[in-house]
Amino acid sequence: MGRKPKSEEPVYSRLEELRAAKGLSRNELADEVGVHYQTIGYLERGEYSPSLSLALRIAALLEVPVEQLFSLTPFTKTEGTR
Amino acid sequence: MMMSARPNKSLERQVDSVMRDTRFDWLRTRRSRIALVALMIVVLVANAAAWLLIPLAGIVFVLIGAVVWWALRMSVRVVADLPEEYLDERQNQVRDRAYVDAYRWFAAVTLVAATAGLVLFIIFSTDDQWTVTLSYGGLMAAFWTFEGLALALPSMALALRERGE
Repeated sequence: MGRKPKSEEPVYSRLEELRAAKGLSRNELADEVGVHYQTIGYLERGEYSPSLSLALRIAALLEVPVEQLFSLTPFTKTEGTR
Repeated sequence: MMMSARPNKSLERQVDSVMRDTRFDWLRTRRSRIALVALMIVVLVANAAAWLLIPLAGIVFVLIGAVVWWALRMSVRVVADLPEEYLDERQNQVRDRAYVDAYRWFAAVTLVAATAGLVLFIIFSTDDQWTVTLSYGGLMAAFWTFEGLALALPSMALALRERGE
């Protein structure tokens, strides 16, 4: 069994929704967690998988469990509206 | 006694300025980045030709190349050239990937040049000897081509990898 290419392992994110719910802009969130605002954009589009450290810092800032923020499977509508 | 690294405050301010810059956002679209990479290639080729044909004209292309190189670096927010402590985790990752690409391209150019030299030697040598006269223009063409590639390739690779802002 070989390793899957990273392109086949997307990470789904509710970051944009939860960030907006907190009233934070990309710039503000980026400054709080110590990354460039462009990286927040990549995270929101699911084009970049964060390190565990970054994922935990974002989850702590948004006051949600990290598994409600990032997932290896698409979030369902009910999870999105919970 | 613990030795702490002395932070470079001046560099920190410059990096912060580049990372937050919006004046040059027009350089950071996908189309602009591709155009800058194409322009850099044209300038490198034209620079070599100029040094071979009209050495003084080569100086003009060196200056043009410096401006294009600056624009290329600004288009990727100088990510390819910054130390890792000034980049976030994603920027470090794309920078490292860009260096892999840049190394492969540089190795390919060097391999082609070295092979061409070998072939020319085989064709023109007599009794395993080949005397080559290297003019000032020829030396400058070779120098600025390899210098230009070494400096510009990481930013070129990064510009082609990154989506537009």
